[in-house]
Amino acid sequence: MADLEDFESIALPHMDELYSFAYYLVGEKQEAEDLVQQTLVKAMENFDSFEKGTNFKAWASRILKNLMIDRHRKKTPVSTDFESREPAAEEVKSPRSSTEILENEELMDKFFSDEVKSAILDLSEKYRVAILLNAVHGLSYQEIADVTDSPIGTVMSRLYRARKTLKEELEEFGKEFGYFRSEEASVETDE
Amino acid sequence: MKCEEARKYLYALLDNELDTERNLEVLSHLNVCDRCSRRFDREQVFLEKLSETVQSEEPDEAFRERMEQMVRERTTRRSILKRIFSFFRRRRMISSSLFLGGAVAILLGFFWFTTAGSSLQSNSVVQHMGEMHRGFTQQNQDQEADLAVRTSDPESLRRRFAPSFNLFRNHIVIPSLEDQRYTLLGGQTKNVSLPRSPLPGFVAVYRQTNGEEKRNYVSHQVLDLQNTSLDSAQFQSLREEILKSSDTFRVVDTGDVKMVLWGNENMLCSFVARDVKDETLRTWAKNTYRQSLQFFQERASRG
Repeated sequence: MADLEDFESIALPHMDELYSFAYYLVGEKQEAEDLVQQTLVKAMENFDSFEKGTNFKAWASRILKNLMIDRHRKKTPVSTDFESREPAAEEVKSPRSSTEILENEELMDKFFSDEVKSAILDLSEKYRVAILLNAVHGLSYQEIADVTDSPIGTVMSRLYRARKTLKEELEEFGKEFGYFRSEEASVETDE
Repeated sequence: MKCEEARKYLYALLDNELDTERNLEVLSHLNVCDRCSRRFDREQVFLEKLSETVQSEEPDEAFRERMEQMVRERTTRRSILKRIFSFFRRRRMISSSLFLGGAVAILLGFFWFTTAGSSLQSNSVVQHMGEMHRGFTQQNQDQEADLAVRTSDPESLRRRFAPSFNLFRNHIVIPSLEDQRYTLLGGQTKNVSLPRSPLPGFVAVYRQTNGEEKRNYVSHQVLDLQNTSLDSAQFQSLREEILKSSDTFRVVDTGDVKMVLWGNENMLCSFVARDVKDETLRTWAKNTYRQSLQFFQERASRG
């Protein structure tokens, strides 16, 4: 059983990772911040159930994931007030050529990041959770299974399908901007 | 193993989820099959890029500070209340007199001033870097001669240098290496230069007790990162420095300790870390996982 006095030293170093996880789960900065804050509060309230020495990231991610699910269940339909949304990546992308982007590494990374975010948000929730727990936190299959209350086989299947879907979605972008060599980037079918 | 079967295990291999036997089977196939090997490399690149991208999304500094403050306030408040209730519960004095009120006020003030500024990070990174130099060289001889502290007792060496490492001196481990037939000679201060600020450290030097004229030395360098936050540029610089001199790389996770091993034909280095961010090790491991495993298999078979 963990002591609340240890919470700061155990939890805060993982805040960035929790934020990354939240951000790619919900796709929006403000909502990600809210989720992280709620997660920290709930984690503090339930810290006596955390076993010291075990993986805090996994434990907190489970809280965050459940909070996200609860929020989305309660959410009312989004209004169509387009002016209040964050500008979409397409609004910046169109005037620039591939060459111009390739010459600016920071811009390229930003574009790829936007593409990745878009592709991840297109995944269904279960696949998104699985791929993010792996890509952000580096959790093992068993840890992901514990966080999501799923069998390991299901975790492996979700990871496989999520990765396959992401590769398909990102293939064109990757070929154009050199993330994948074009002759190698084609998605192979399983034999 | 055939291609179809090897491809079933590719992701598990990349995720470090295979047992040793299966690991070797798949790697052996990759060594002889160009097609599967190329696919492995592509998947590795893709996963690395994906991880790198999602992990690069960071919160604003203002948000970070707000959360840190919120956590500190809540944990301090609860800690104080817990101690007060515990104190009164033990003494069955839950009545509100002016005297008790005053005592609580003093207690609150005391705890506030002593704990509010506290920011102990129990998972600070303490790293060891070991180098094994094969053969007797002038450098080794000088190394033995230059030791500031001479002792064969690891605990004495730790007590001598660790106090300068501030709060987490108890995390530092200096192995005795007697099982590997090395004798501790002593130690000296040794810092590591990085782009913006040096990393303070010290080194423990051992000599191999093999009775031969040709001597092997091992040095374990301990770096204190507690008060240093390595930003991505500094970590990149450290990583490049390591990879420049190495052909291979491997990550070993014993459960308590994570160890990164790297080297070339003439040198074997180890980096023993507690609580280093997983993604850092995984990124390094994925880069040369296949080659490093092969390297250590070959070394093991040579003896």
